[in-house]
Amino acid sequence: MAVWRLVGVDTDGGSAVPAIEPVDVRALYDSHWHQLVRLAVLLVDDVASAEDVVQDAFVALHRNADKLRDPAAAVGYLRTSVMNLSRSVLRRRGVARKHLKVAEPEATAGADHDVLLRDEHRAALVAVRTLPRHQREVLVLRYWSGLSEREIAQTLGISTGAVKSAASRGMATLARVLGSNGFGGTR
Amino acid sequence: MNHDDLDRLLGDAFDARARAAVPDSTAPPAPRFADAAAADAAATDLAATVLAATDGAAIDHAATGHGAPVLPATRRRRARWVAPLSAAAAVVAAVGIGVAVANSGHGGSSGPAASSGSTSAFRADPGAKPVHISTLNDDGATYGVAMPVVAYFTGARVTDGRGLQAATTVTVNDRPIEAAWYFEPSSAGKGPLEAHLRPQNYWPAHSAIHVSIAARGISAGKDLGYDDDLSVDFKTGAQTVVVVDSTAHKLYVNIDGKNKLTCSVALGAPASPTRRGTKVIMNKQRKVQLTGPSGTTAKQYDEPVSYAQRLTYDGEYLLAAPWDTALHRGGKPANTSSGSTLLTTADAKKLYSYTAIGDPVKYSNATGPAMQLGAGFGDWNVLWSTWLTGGAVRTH
Repeated sequence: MAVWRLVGVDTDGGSAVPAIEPVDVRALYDSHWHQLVRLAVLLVDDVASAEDVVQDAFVALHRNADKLRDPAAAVGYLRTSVMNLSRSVLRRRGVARKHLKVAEPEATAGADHDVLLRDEHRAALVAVRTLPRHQREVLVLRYWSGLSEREIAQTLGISTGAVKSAASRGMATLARVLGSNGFGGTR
Repeated sequence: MNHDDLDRLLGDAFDARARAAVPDSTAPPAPRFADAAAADAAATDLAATVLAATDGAAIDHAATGHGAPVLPATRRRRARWVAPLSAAAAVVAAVGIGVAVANSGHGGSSGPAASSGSTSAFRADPGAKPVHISTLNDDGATYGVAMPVVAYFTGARVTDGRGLQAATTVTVNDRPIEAAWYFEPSSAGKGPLEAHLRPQNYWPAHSAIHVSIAARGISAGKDLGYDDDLSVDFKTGAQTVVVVDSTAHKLYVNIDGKNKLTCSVALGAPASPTRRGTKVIMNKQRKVQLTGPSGTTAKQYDEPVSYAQRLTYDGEYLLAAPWDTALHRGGKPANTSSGSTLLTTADAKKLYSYTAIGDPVKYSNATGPAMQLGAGFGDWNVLWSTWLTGGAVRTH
C-alpha cells in the first residue's frame, strides 16, 4: 500500500491478525446521525419525522448487527432503511390527508427553514417537491448523497436503467420549471 | 439553464436545506436502540454473576462491571453481540481467573482478578537469563483515553507472559482496574516482542493512572527472568474521540460528549485506501518533512507538512493539505492521498489544538484493509476475549 512515509522510519509491520469486532452501531450512530437525518429531511420535509425515521433505521440495524460485519454495508443498510421509512411517512401522511382533510403539513413544513435560503435554492426545492416520489429520491441520492447510479440502484432496489430514466426525467422537469422562472444563468 | 448549472444548483439547494434543518451543532439524541441493549446487558451481567457465584469463585464484579466506566454503550454492545459460544467461553475464562487468584493465596476477595494475582508461582529460576523491561510511556504525561502502555524487552525473547501479567497492578484514581498485556512482534523494532497493556474499554477520562510492574525476579519463560521493577504514572485528559466518515468525507471531533468540530476531509485514493478500524494518535508534529508516496511509480514528494498527527507506522497521518484545492474551496473532496487524511490548513490547525497523543481516531467505514494491531496502536481493534489470550505468548 502506498502511504506517506516519514523519512528513515522502519516499517516492519506486525504479523498479528486480530479479529475485527462486529459493526459498531453506536459509532455509526455518532458518525452518521446528522447525515441520515438530513437525508430524511430532504425526503419527508420536516425534522421531527426525519429524526423518527433515523431512530427506527438504527433500531432495525441494531437488531441485525450480528449479521453485518462490514461497516460500509451497514451504512448502505441504514440508507435503504431511511428511504423505505421515509416512504412510509409520506404514505401515512397521504392517508391522513385523504381522510381528515386537514391542512397539508408538508405544504408548510420546511418553510421555516426555507426562509433562510437563497431564492434560487428555495425555487429548486419547491420544484423538487412537485416531482414524482421516485424521481425525487433518485435526485436526492444523486446530488446530495453523491451516490453513483449503481449505488442508487442498490439503495432503492431498482435497476440502473430505472435510475437513469428517473434522473433524466426529473432533471428535464426541473430544467423546464426553473429555466422559465428567471433563475437560469444566475450562477 | 444548462445541465451543469442545474447539477450544481440542485446540490447546493439540497445542501443548504439539509444544513438549515439539521445544523452541525445539533447534538444527536440518545439512540433508541440503547434502551433495548441495556436490558440485554443487565440479563447477561446477571447470568455471569450467578455462574460465578455457583462456581464458588469470588470474582470481584467491580473488575468487570465497573472497572472502566468510560463507554457504557460499548459494554452493552458487547454483552448484546457476543455469540452464545464465545459468551460462554468468556464467562468460563472469568471464572478461571477467579479460581487462579483464589488458589494462589489471595483469597480472591478483593481487587481486580486479573491484575493482582500472586507472583509466587512465577519466580524465575536462579541463573535465569535477564530480560529488561522499558516503557514507551512517559511518567507525568497526559495522554488520550486510548493510549496503550507499551513495554519493550531487551535481552531475550519473552516466552511466557503470565509472570508479567501477575506482576502488574493498575489503578485509576487509586481504584484497581482490570488491565491485560498483549504480546506481539515489535512494530517499533525494539526487540523481538513488545507488549501493550490496556483495559477492556478506553481509560476513564480526566483520571490518574498508576501502573506498577513488580517484575524483578519474575519469570519471563523457561530460564528467563526480568531484571527490573518499574512503574508508570500518567494522566488521561478529556475523552476526545475523532470519527472519520469516509462516505461523507467528514471528520468529527467529540470531546467529553460534545461535538467540537465537523469538517471535510479527503482520504486515500482507490489505489492506496485508508485503513478501516480504530487508530490512535501516536505522535504530533507541528511541521514535518514527508516523502512519498512509497511503493508506486507516481510522482515522488518531499514536502514540509504542517499539523501532522501520525496514526500508523507506515505513515497514515492526519495533516494539513494546502495543495488540495477542492478541499479548500469547499467542494466535494476527492480521495487523492496515499492513505493519509487530508484537511484544510485551518481545520488541521483546529484539530491539532484539540487532540492529544493517545486519542482514538475511528475509521468505521473507510475502504482500506482492516487496521492491524501492529500497524500502529491498533489495540482497540482486538476483541477483549482475544486480548486476554495474550497474543504471541500466554498471559493467563
